[in-house]
Amino acid sequence: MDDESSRHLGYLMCLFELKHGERLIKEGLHSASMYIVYSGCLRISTAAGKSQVRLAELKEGEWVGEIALLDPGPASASVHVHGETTVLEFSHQALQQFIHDRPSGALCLLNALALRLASRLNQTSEGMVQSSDSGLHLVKPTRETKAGLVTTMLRMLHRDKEGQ
Amino acid sequence: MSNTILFAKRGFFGVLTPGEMSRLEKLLPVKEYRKGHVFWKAGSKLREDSPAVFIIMEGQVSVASEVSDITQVPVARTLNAGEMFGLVTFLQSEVHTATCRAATKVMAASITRAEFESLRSKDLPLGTALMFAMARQLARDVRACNQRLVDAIRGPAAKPAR
Repeated sequence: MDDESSRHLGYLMCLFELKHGERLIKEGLHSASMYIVYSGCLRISTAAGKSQVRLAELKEGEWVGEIALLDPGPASASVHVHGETTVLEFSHQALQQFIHDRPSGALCLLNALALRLASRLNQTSEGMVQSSDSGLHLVKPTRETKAGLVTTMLRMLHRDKEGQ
Repeated sequence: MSNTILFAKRGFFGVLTPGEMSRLEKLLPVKEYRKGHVFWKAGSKLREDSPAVFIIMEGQVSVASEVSDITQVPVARTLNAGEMFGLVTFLQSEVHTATCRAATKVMAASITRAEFESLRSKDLPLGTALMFAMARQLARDVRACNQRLVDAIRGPAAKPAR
């Protein structure tokens, strides 16, 4: 993605400072945004009976909610803040604006998201097939890595902040 | 019924303007496939000149994840009008990961990799809109796949009411 598109994408996102223990996403409720950890930590969990099972912990540069970004709907897990945390919110509405304003940058972003989702689909499908003989088990969630895309966006935001 | 009406009826390309819809109609001809038609088998190689992605306009397509004897393979999922298939192979590999067969008479539009590459270079907004539709379909597929896993683990009784 070119610098101008990255910068424009940054402007379409909202920066939120959150306190320890705050809930960002509630399982089962409508969600229409992706959240990128700018600093701090987010914890993803799901209900298992009366308790919560932690699925993953996200650090700086990692994100959650790409499915909600592309196709808003009920969240499949809850997300809570752990420690003082700043997140970037990328909403479905902002994505549509970005597609309209910067189709070239949007194509790059959508291609990256589609590739990640295709990988996840393969992993989950394989997990289901492999477990069909010996009883189903949860596929271990893959840890989000710092993708070049988000790193670029964060770098652009840092650069803009320093320039102000 | 014109292809444009079929596209619009399916609400598939919510981000497209009527003009873009019309351009897409010319690029993606809709064809009819008889019940039982095999679009591809799992393990087969994607040819460059073959349709890579199908968009179902009418009818249903069954998707199964194994190759061997198709009559014994349980159907993993049934796709309906408005849904796409072939995306994982289109994006990631040369080999089809599932067998796709027409469960009923099917009307579907299709696009090859070369056609998509041409589209994105000649008509960027339309190429981006199509990629958005593909990414959105993958998001729905992942959500459905996750839900099947959760349902299988928790049991059907735990499935939340929609």
